[in-house]
Parts: sequence; C-alpha cells; structure tokens
Amino acid sequence: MLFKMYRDHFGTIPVEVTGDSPQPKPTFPAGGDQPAVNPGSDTYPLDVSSALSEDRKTLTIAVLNPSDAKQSMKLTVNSVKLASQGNSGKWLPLKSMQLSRLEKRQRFRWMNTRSARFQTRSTCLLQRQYLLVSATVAQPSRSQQISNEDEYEKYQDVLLTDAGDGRVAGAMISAQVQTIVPPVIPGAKPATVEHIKIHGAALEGNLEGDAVDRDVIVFLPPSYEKDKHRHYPVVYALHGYSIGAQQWSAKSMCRRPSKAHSPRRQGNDCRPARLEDRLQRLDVFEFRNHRRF
Amino acid sequence: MYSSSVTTGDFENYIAHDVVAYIDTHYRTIPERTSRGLVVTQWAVTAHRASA
Repeated sequence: MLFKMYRDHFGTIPVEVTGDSPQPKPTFPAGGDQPAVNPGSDTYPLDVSSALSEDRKTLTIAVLNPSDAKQSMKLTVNSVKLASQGNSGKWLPLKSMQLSRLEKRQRFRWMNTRSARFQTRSTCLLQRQYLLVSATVAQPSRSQQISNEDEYEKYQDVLLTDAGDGRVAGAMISAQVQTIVPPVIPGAKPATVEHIKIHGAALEGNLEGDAVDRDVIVFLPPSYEKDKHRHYPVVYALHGYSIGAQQWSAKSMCRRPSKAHSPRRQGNDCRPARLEDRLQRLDVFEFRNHRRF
Repeated sequence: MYSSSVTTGDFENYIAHDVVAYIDTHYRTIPERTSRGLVVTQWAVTAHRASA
C-alpha cells in the first residue's frame, strides 16, 4: 500500500538531497539503543525528499516542516533541466494520505528553471500538510544521451538517463534553510535559574534502583531577590517522556538564541520567553524525572 | 511516567507531596491549592489529573 502510493504519487527513482543545514546530534536520549546521528538530509529542520517518476518526466520534491516555526528555503535543482518555469512548480496535496487543508496562497516562486524559493507554514506536520513540488523535466535530446562514465561527468547538468551500464543517475537538489526566530521581547528581565535536587521519600526502594534525589530546575521571577516579603504562586512544569527538564525548559521557558536548532546553548543563561511572560510573577519549577521504560 | 509504580518509583506521590512540600518550605510560595498551577506535556497528563 505504502509503496503503491509512492509509485503513484511520488516517484520510483530516488534523488539525492543535500543542504547547508546539517542534522544536529541527537539530544534527547530516551534510554535503550541510541542513534549516533540523526537521520535525514542536511536540510534541518525541514524534511526534504525527492524522487523522479519512472518515466523520468516528473521530479517530485516533498518538504515537510515538523518544527513550530515558519521556515524559508531556497531550492536549487542541480542536475536536471526543468521543462518550463511557468507551470512547473505547484503545490499538490497528497489526497490519498488525507493531507488536506492546503492554503490557496502559498509563498512559492520559481526564479528560473533551476531554482525556487519558498516559505513553509509553521508546523506542516501538525496541519498534516506537505509541500509537494512537481516539476516536468526536459527530455534530453538524442545527442545528450549518455553512454559512459566520462560523458556522465560531462553531461551532469543535462543528465536524466541511465549511465549506460544500468546505473541510475540521480539528480541533485540542494536546499538552504533559514530559521525564523521570534523577536526578543523588549525590556524582558532575566529570571534567576536554580538547579537543585529534591529527595523523594516516595521513590525510595524503587525496583529499578533509580536515584531518589531528582534534578529540579527552579525559575525565580525577576523580583524574587528584591522583594523579600513577597510570596508567589507556583507553576509546576512536568516534561514529557523522552525529554529532560533541561531540554524542555529550553524549549518552553527560554528564548531561543540565534540558532534555533541548538537548544542546548541556553544553560543558565535563560531569558524569560513568551510562556513565562504570560505567567507573570509566577515561579516555574521543572522536574527531571526522565524515566526508562 | 508520573504514575505510582513499584518498579520505577511512586512519582505520583513524589510530585504531589515530596516536591510540593520541599518547594513550599524552601521558597517563598503561597502554599495553597489555589496558588499552584501545573504545566505538563503528553505523557504527564493522565497521572496529574489524579494527583493535582
């Protein structure tokens, strides 16, 4: 079923995808075997894949944005010539996958037959939306048919056929990803962050022998030190499975630094972000209860 | 995850009693039910409907 869908709607000849935004190292180990690297092309955080149809007339590029921000991307098709720029790029919903709610006005623009710029909406993943660019590929003329490896090198730009020995010559696509970071809230004061451990009498004697003194991160409001007699309400924030308090606090409580895909950079250098702004004058406590199942 | 487990530990009571008691004694809080809020993600929700 899945492969039929691929054949009918995507393509059968895989196409190499490269980019200038490498996948970061895995940061939220959840126990068990850990992958050494994150899979995927160098188009982080976008998920880009591409294939040619069996007749090699149609190049399909799928872009999925699993992040929570809009992403923009410059797309360049390196080794194929596209037939025309007018109607060669369009957004197509994958109806068979029930990926619907496609916006009519998409920011997508072909610059020429080789490259395009576009911006994804935020969380295509949650909105179950793919960007599918389908492009008609120019047929190589008879004289451009490639018969051996030397010519393969030579004609890389017009290449769309077997390299003569049955090998499939792939096209190459490169993508440039730029993350849009929300603006800094003007005048936001830094919160005090304390890393403490809280002993758990309730955790004593657990059969897995996990530590009973658990890491807790405490965010104190800016006025906590100054206003010694003031008492504050408390918000307890529990992170989910497969993530630690550090990562979640970086995600939800702190402003991301310039590079959104390096959440580890915050450390204690936390600035109150939107969530904490909303929870004005509250203390936010975080728990590190990362469990193994 | 935040349930009361013999195997991994009684995290339900850890959060609801041990942590809350510790925070209320070590920080200047308003130690009342109406002044406590909870922010959770996916796996934590079920347990805390019960214990909060």
